[in-house]
Amino acid sequence: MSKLPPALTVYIVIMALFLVAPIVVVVIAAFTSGDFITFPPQSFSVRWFDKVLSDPEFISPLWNSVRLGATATIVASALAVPAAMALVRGNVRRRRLIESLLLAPLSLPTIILAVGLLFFTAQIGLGASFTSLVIGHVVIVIPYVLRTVLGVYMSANHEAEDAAKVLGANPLQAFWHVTLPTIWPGILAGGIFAFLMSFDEVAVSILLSNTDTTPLPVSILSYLVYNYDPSVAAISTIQIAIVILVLLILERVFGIRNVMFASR
Amino acid sequence: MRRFLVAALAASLINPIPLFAQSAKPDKIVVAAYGGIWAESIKKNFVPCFEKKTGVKVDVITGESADWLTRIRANPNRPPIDILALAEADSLRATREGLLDQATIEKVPNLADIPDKFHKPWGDHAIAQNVGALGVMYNKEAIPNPPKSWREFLDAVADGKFGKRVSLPAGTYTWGPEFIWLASQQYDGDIDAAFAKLKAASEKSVVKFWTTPVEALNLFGTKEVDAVVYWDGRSNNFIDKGNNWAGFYIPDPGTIVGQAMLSKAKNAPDIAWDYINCALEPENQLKHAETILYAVPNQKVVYPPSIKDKVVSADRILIPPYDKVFDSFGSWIERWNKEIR
Amino acid sequence: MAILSSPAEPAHPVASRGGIRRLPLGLLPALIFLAVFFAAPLLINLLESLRGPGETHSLAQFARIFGDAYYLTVIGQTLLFGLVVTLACALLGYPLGYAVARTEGTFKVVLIFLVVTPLLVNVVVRSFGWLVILGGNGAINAGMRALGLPKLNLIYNWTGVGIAMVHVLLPFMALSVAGTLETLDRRIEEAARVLGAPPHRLFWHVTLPMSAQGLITGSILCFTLSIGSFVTALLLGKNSTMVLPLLIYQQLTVASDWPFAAAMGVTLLILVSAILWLQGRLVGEPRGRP
Repeated sequence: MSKLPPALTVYIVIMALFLVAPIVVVVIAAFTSGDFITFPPQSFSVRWFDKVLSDPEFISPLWNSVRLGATATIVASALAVPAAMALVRGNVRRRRLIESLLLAPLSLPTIILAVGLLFFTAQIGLGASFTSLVIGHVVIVIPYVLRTVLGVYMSANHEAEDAAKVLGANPLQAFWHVTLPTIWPGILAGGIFAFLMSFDEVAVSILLSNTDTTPLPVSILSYLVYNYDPSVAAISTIQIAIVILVLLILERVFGIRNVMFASR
Repeated sequence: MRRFLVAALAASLINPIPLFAQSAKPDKIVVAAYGGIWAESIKKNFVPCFEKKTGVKVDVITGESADWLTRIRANPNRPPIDILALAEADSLRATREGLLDQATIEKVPNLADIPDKFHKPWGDHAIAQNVGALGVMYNKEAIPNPPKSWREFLDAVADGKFGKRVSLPAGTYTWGPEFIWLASQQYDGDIDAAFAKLKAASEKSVVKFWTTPVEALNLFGTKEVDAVVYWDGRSNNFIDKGNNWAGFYIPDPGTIVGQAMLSKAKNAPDIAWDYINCALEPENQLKHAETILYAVPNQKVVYPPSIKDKVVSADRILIPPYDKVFDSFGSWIERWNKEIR
Repeated sequence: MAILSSPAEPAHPVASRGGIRRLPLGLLPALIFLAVFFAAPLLINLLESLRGPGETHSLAQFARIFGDAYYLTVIGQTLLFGLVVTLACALLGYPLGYAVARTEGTFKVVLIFLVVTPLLVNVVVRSFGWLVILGGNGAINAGMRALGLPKLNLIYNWTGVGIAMVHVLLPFMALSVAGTLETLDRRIEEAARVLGAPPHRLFWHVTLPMSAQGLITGSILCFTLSIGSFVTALLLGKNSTMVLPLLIYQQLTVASDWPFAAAMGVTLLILVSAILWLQGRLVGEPRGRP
């Protein structure tokens, strides 16, 4: 149980209310039977869920966002993990500079990246496609995975790794059996952030998506431009449920409590 | 036979388009549409006509005018969108940049029934498919006698007559510059006077200048404001949903419109012209009007009594002289940012 | 395939033994990917920002930004906003992070879920949620009315935008802090306690300095994210709460002035990089285990 001073516990309760407030509003609004997102809702119904679950304009984008987020996270991790390891143990000259370069996408407003990528992918013949979307999202989320893996790897003990090599393991074996289990919490933490950030990304998704790759934020925005009804709240509630489900599964399988901290 | 094939292959490698363009049919075309009921309407009312006539499928992509323009700018040789629905200003930009093809009566027979003002300003590179009018939606209980003309309305809002309970379109909204032009027309074309009125309005009456239609609807629907300058179709849709406390009217002497314009992107397949023709077909235009509750440009269309009062009549439509004012839009937007807080 | 360029080495990089150090292979995929897909779009933007009429190049767009008090004000507002939001995140987020790090079991998991909640919904929908809570007829003001108190103006101003921004950035701050606190050597705290340090001295003189790294990492993230966002300012702010990314978005859409937008983008990027570099110089390079 918690060993927190009582003042802190009170603070946590207040902050908890703050943190969940808009989310709760959205979820409640999804159940309103009226045509507006008002508070408090006048009466309840599930008709908006009926509507969005049977409307391809929402369901396909939800699935698109999931596969986009998953793909981008996996690719970003594949790029970030070797980079993090090289930065920590590779005795790289100007390590800090290279690290800043790799983390630079964090500083760039995504709309600038979006327009630049649009023109770039057009010139190299990719155009608006799932590949372009993945590329854009990977650029945006790489720093999240890199940060967390760097954090864990940096403060980790490398003796086991070195011992394995001394005992004859080749680099691949050492990585798989020793390093990977150590940095796995970092990958998971960064991966979760990466996935969530990808889900939230608007600018890149608007410009680089086409009809069959439209992610959820884009379809919500298009819908919202000329319609204002709780279907948006309903699809968002479904999205929340999916993410919570995924997080719960991760917690059961990997123990999320050990995972979320791996950042410097 | 072999020689012919080799020659054809060689020709296609060097220059694929001429070999195939006229004879080959694309398996689909991409048509842009605004989200929600717009997309539903064109899928229901325009797409079947085209698909039946040509056998080519239609993929509808939703979004906004600026995104579509950016996309065809990025890829002019292989436009990702074949039929665009750009706003007037963006249509003008695209025309000037050579990104659109010019329509003719041969390619689009129904063009003959579209009045000049809906396509001539763009040199026939863009044709209106529906026309929404800007008017005033108001709370009948809070404002029982709304001002009859735009001038009276703007004066009242500048004086704060309704309290801080009004919303107007932002100068930075897609049709913001057109709204500024409309305001200036109430003061003999004086832009400075228009800005002065809008500035006074922002201090005394405007809770927020809306930048997307959904904001406007939200402000009015949640009764944060008592009057909002808004589109007729959306307003009537809202009132029809059982909100009898709301009313809508178009102040005198007339109003500006927001047109969703049909354009074929340069280098898009020629068969796309048939889509435009389908969209301008009188029966399809009428069905479109009935779905989205906006006026349509085809003069052959006769509105049934059920919607006749809801859609704007052609004689009340004012179209800004784009060739004269378009180049000022940029500076108006900058001025808006600086003066309207 | 060698992931590491050199064999067993201590955690701290040691001086190289002379000669040219190659870049380790492990860095190459990420560097090449970013060089192509991050640097190239940036370059395109830079070129666009320098585009003059015809085929010329000029700094005209930058002159427009830096020669005009309005744009300088917007830049200033953006940076100030970022600073205030970051400060608020640090103050509010540190205790949260501390709580997450110092609890165990189910309570800890619940806390983590709570902390991550703001990230669960899309920014657009979240903003509408805030309108419902903070609006004139919203939940808070309904409460104020019931208590006979005056109406609070919480939206369409810096307050509303700030609240929503802090809300979504708290997870980053809290988890950064928690991360550092988790990996701290508890024995130092134990030692201090055994030596008789009272709890508040323990905190101020031992715990806080040691967790400074987490605060700094969290602050960097909060700052860069807050000055790069525009959707929140668009939906919860008004014209006077103009920030640079919103101006960029506006110039790209309604004004369709790409060179100007590109110049503003370059400016923003340079500003952020400069601040990060400055911060790096002032604070010094973080080490692994202290």
